[in-house]
Formats: sequence, structure tokens, C-alpha cells
Amino acid sequence: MEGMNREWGIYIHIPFCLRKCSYCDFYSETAFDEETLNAYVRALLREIDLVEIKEEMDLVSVYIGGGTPSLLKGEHIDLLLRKIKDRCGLKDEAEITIEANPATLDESRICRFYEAGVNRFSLGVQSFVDEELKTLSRMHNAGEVWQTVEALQRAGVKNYNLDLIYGIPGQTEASWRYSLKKAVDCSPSHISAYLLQLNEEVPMAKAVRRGELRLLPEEKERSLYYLAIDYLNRHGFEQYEISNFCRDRLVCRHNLVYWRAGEYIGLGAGAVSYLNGRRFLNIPSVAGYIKNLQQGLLPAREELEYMATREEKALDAIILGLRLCRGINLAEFKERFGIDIGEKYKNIIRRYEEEKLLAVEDGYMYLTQKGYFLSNQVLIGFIGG
Amino acid sequence: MQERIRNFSIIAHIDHGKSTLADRLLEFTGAISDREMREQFLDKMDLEREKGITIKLQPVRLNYKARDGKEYIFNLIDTPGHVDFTYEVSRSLAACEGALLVVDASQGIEAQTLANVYMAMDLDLAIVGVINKIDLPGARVEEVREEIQNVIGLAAEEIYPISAKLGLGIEEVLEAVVKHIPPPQGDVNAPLQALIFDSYFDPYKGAISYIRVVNGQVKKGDIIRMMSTGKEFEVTELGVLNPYMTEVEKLEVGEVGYLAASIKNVGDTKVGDTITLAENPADKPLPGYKVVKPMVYCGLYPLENSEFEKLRDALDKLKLNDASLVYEPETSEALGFGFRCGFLGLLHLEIIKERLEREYDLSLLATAPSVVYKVVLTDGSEVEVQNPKHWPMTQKIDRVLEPFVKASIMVPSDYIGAVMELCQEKRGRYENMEYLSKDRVLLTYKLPLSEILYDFFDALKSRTRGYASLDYEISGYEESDLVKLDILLNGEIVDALSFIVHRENAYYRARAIVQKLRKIIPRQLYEVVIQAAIGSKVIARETVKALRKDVLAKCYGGDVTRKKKLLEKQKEGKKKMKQIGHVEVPKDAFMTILDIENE
Repeated sequence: MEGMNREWGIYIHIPFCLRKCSYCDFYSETAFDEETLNAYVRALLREIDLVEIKEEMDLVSVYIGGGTPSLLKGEHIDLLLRKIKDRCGLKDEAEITIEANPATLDESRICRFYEAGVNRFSLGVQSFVDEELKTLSRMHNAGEVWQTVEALQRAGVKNYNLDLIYGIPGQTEASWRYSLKKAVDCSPSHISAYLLQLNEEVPMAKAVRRGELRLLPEEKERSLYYLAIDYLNRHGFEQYEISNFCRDRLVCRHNLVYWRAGEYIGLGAGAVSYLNGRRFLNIPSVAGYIKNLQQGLLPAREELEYMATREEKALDAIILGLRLCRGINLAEFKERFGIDIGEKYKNIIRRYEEEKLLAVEDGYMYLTQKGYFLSNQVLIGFIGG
Repeated sequence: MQERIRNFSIIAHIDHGKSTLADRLLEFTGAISDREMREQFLDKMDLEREKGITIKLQPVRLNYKARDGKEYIFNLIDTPGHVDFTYEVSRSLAACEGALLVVDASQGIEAQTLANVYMAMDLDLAIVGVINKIDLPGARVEEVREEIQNVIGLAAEEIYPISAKLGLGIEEVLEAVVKHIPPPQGDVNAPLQALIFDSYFDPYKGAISYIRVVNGQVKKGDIIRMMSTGKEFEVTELGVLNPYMTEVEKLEVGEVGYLAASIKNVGDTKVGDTITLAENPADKPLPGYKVVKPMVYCGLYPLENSEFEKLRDALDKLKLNDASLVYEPETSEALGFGFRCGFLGLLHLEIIKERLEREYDLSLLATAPSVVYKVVLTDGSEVEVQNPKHWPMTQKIDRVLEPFVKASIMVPSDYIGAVMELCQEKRGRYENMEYLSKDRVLLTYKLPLSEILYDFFDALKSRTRGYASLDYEISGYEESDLVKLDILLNGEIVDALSFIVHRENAYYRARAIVQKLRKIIPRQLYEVVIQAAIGSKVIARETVKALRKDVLAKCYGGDVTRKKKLLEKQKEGKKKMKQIGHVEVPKDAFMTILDIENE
């Protein structure tokens, strides 16, 4: 199949939260009851029946994200995963991840999810400093993270990720180092460290505009970023993407599908899919979504983007592929898209090599460590700036 | 026939309702139907309609059945109102026997109008006074009538109060045209003399000239000769604009119309030239127009270097339509190949740049405008400098002369103090003050042209709550203490950013401009040092710190499209930049020197 990988993934969006965090721009709703959750899961099961499935490809990952998927019950997860196995032929070794808010994940839920087939947990920890968690309007405190991690370990879960955020107003190098240390102490297999970047509509961005909150200066954000890379490297975590680190090669396979420009189906209200060169968004409304599926229809979709040509798909693959530390395998790329990157982008490559932001070596093109935090500059070069 | 022709223009200040009056005349005489009517009918260019001004003169033919029962042919030639376009006004006036002077009933006569009326009087045109907007609450019809009588010398019965907006008094104006404006003189049997008063390029018909036949007649198929070049062409089409192009077989003495003759080279139809017949030519051309000298120069560069030839072609075509435009190729180390262009004023510059961009699909960068300085060197020789880049070395300069204007400012007496203060700030020298009526004053100042070019008019308007009006004419060169200020980016002089400034203002201007540049030059991979220097002496400095962060930390399935859109936007931003050495400079930066004047 031209321009595509053989591996694909399924993303399931669970757009429910007990409370919206002030920095988050994912679609979710806070007014719901148990019946809504049941109806929503029923609708998801129907959507799985209706969506286009590529039999010839390998389903390597299911990722249940949100919102707050840990609000679902074990039986919901069980139903969903069974359905996917029946309909899509899930690989035995497939990665099955669920995102969880430390405040909503108790030991019994962990066990039920685990029994249902979930083999990877991703905890939205964000910080180990309570003051910073308050700034982010998170529901949990640092102590609850410990309880959750202990519960995971007791349940025998080894593959779990902690999400951390840097660039929080009031954060210092010392407090960031503290959060990193505590995270490492939790012995996760994977750590994601994200810069706080606000979509302009979220409440926190409004507070910043009103002058009630002040984001850190760029210089500071930069030093926190490189501090994280350095700290995590020294503690056995290898960086494999701009914001992602793992131990023992336990990368997030689901995200690799994205970064390798593979196809994925997004199920649920507000989920995005990428299929046959089209990126589209399911209707971001729980009620609308449920209604569509009750009528036996696919949810209303908005086409975000259509890449008709190999060139467009190739550009997409460059933008995504350069996020990976390993970079882009030039031979594979040429086979897949028929484009010789080294030839086509000769001038751009030379220019950014001179700036020490980009390197080509051993058949790979990749961003340098200096290039990570300035990656957009390089990408603009590739899209023709 | 000749007896029934009336050729006239409308003279008016901006906003006094000239285009609206023209619209009403068109409607009243049935030249256009209600269905076709739109505001500013004769202003064809999008730019004119957007800005609500007239740039190009535009002839139109009207048929009017007068109260005496006879049919008359009116040729109305609309004129622009802004000081920059005085040249266009003089051209349309030369094709007429009369002019309607339109004055706003609440504003009175403005300085600019007065200058144009004097021009018309010099050409012996009959003047008909029209007081417009009498329906407005602030109308002072009697006072304004008195002012026109006093200042212009019209008789009370030659002045007509109207409301063009409401259509009041239009017929009286048409009757006044018949009564007061004489029919054209000239001999239909004499050899052909036709004045080209405007021309433009049509891709199908070649160069098209608007002509006024002064003597003789011209027919389709005639072989014509351009008297300035001797080149000959066969007339392929003649016509009138009523207001649409309508073909006719011939144009006779006194008539106004258009002429096409498969003229491919735009330079062969010079505005002001006289057309005669190859067979039986006139022995001498008509007086034509005095050559206008540009007052202000700037560099125009294509953003894409490959578009240089396209720009040349566009300038050639525009020149045909606008004889006052001059240009020659120039090179800048920073900007590559472009043209040094001369303009009548800043509005003219802005209009030409916009027309080039819109009508010829170019993306242009304009450098800061400069007047023409005269520099006397220590060896006694004198050089003219209209590009700061060619400013001689300080040690070679004996003295510098800069152009001055005589500015006439009309203002209600309450604002005399404010206007004097402004003129003082702009290095002006008081000349004279004259009371036009008990509360209206005409102030005369000598001012450096460079000072009034930039924001003088805006400042004048804001300090007099819009009541002052301005006209100016070049009065000659005077000695001034001027220096060249260079702008350096990372130690390299950017030639296109240099400008000439009075020594006393140099420090202030230097600081203002480097601060402004710091704000508009985006952060990039390297630190950018911005300096302003006179000779080798740096007098102001700012730095743009290196970019430290440009990343999207999170990029998963749902984020990709949004991320790409952000990158696209960034890329578009970069396209508006000019790469100078390693530094990316927004194209607007080159006009920054103007902006700081306005802050």
C-alpha cells in the first residue's frame, strides 16, 4: 500500500471529566450520569461495527484516552475490547493503553481493566508539587499518585506511564527536578514531559491574558526542557521523541503509529481518524454522537484535511517523523513515497545542518538535541518557508 | 454642431461632493439608467472606490436638451482632488472651456481648491460656482457665497446652491453650463490638431488615447502622425464615452473622445502630445503640458527577485496611464534589483504601489521615500541625491541644500496658534497671514518638503479638528544641516534603510527607528544587533534576542492537522520577510522610517 504503514491503531475517546482542567483543550463534558456512560459505550460498540476495517493490516494498538477513561467501569472496557477483537483481529502482543486520572483510579478498577486486557496505564500526574497541581486545577494531590502507583504495582502492572508538565506558572528548576525525581522513584516504564502550551480558548490562557497568571519566559522553559532530558537520561530513561522517554525500549507503540504517519481510527465523540489520506473528526458532542449511532449511522464527521498526493503524504510523514529522536529512515521513506529526501531537500538540509539543528547520518535524518526545542523552524523549511 | 458643445471639468476639494455631482449629472441627462447607477460612477478603479477619491481623470459625454429647446453635447472631465494629482487636474482643464467649482456649504473654499481655480483662470476657463450640501444642518450658504465672490471674483448670479445628494438644483447647474461656458473655438477645416490628455493600454486594441480635437477632424482609417515623434498610425477605432465606449465614424473640432490605432509601444502615445494627419499636417503642435518633476523618490523592489522583468513591464504600462511617474533601474545590496521611482507625492506613491500589486499581481517592497537633495562638494561641483545610498562622504561635502515649499494653509482663526506651533516643529518659517473673512485665515509658511511629506497633513488635520486645508508648491532649494543616518543589522549597513535627517533630529530619530525595528524584526536563530550610525559613529543600538523556543510539545492523532496549520501560518509569515544576510526582515520594515513620524 503506497504511502502507508502496515500497522494501524484504534483510539477511543472518552469525553467525560468530573471537572475540566484549566489548561486542557480536549473535548469533554462534565454533566453526565451513569446512564450516559452506558449509552455512550453502546454507541461505541455500534461504531466499531460500522467503521471501515483494513483486514490486511495489523492492529497493533488500542488507546483509550480522554477526557477521563478511568471513569468507565471494568465491564465497559471488557465489552469494548471484546468487540474490537471480534471485529478487527487484535494482535496478541498488541498494546492496550488506558489513560487515568490518579484521583479516579482505585485498585479494583485497575484489576478489572487489567483482566479485561488493558496492559498499559498512563497516569496524568503532571506534577508532584501540590501548589503546581492547584495552579493546573487538577483534582488530585501528590499523595494520591503514590497510592495509585502502589496499586498498579500490587496488581502486577509493569508498563505504566506518568505524564508530567513543565512551564507551569511558579515552577522553578528545583521544583521541576523534584517532580522528575519523584516520577523516577515511581519506577514507571515511560515518562512524557510536556511543555505547558495553551490553546487560546482555555480558561488558563484567559487568566494569562488578564494578567492573573504569568507563564515562564522562553529561556526558562528551555532550561527546564533540557534539564528533563539530562535528568531522565541519567536515570535510565532514553528519550525517543521530543517529549517522550522510556526505559527498556518500552516505547508507546500507539504514538509510534502517529509519528510514523500510520493510519488510525478514532472512535467516539470528538475523536480524530486518519484513513486513506483523510483526517477527519467525529462530531464533538456526546448527545449528537449517541443519536447518530442509535439511528444506525456513522457519527457525523468533519473532514479536517485530505492529502490526495504522495507528496502531501510524504510531507506529513516528515513533519511527524522528525519528532522521533531516531528520525526518518531515508531508505524506507524512499521506498514508501518514492522520494529521495536527501536530494529533494538538499538545500534545506544543508541550511539546518549548518545551524546544527538537523543531521543526516547512517541513513537517517533527525533533529539534533538543540533542534528539538526549535523544531518548528526546521519543519517550516521543509514545508517551503 | 460646434456651437452646441460644452467641455468642462469639476474642481472640488476631497469630500465636497464632486463625484456625487457627476453621478447626478449622468442620471439627469439619462446617460445611465437607475439600474446601472452606482455611487462614484466615473471612478472606475477599485482603489478609487475604496478610498473614496478620484485618481484618474475620466471623460464622459452627456446629451442635454436645454430649456431653449436645443440639444447640447456636454463633455465632462472628472478630476482628482488631492494635492498629489494636481498634474492630472491641469491636464483635464486644458481640454476644457469651463469648470464647475464645487464648494461644500459648511466647509467653504479650501486651499487646494483655490490653487486649482487659479490654474483654471490662468487657462482662461469660465468658472461656474456651485455650493453643495445645502441640505446639511451646518450649511452656511450665504457666507460661502460671499467667500466665493470675494476670493474668486464670481458674480452672485454665477453661483448655484445645490444638494447633489438629494438631486436639488441639478437642472440649474446644467443650464448654467449652457449659459456661462462658451462653446469650443477652432476651425473644422484647419489641419487636425488633437490633444492627447490621457491614455491607457488595452490588451486587445493597443494604446488608447483620450483626445480633445482642437482644430480639424479625424476619421476612422485616417493615417495620423504623433507630432513629437513623427510616428504614424492608422486609426482603427474612434469613439465617445457616454459613459460606455461607443464607436463613432469621426471626431470633429471641439469634441472629446477616444482613439485607437493599433499602437503597441506604450511610449508612442505621450500624454500632452498633439495628433495631426500625415496628409495635410498642422504646422505646429499644441502647447501640451509642462513636464512635471517628481518631488519624492523611493525604491520599489519585487519581493521575488525573478519578478524584476514583470515589474519593468508593469511600470511601462502604468507610465502610459500616468505620465508623471518616472523610474529607472537600481540595485541594492540588501534588496537586489529594483527601480528607483519618482512620484508627485506620498499618496501618488501609495496609489502606484497598490496599482502595481493589484493590477499586475506583484508583491513589492518599498523603501522609505526621499526628496531630491543638492549636495555641493568641496571641489565646487554639485550633485543631486534622491537616494540616500548615493550621499557623498562627509569630508567631501561642503554644504547641502534641500527643497522647500511655500505652504498655504487655510484655517479658522481659532486654530492659528496650533498651526503655527506645528509649522515651527517642522522647521517652518513664517511668511505671511491674511484674513479671508472675519474668521478665516490664509497662513503662508516656508517648510522643508521632506517635513511635510510624511505626516504633516495628518498632524495639521488633527490639530485643527479637520478644519485646516493645505496646498503647497516648490519654492526652491535652501541650505540645511543634514546628515545621512545608516542602519546596520549585525554590523552590516542595510543600504535600503538609510535616510537623510536634520542633524538636530538625528538622535531622536535614530533611537525611535532602532526601537521600532527591534519590535518588528522577529526573533530568529541568531541574535540580531540593530544599530543606527552617522558615518562610523553609532548613535543608537538595540538587540533582538535569539529565538529560544519554537516547538509543539504535544503532537498526537488529533493534533496533526492543527499543527500543520500553525506551521503553514508561520511559513506564510516568513514569505513576507526579506532575507538580508542572515537576518529576516519584514518587508514593512523599509517603511518604518515613515511610521515613527506618526507616533
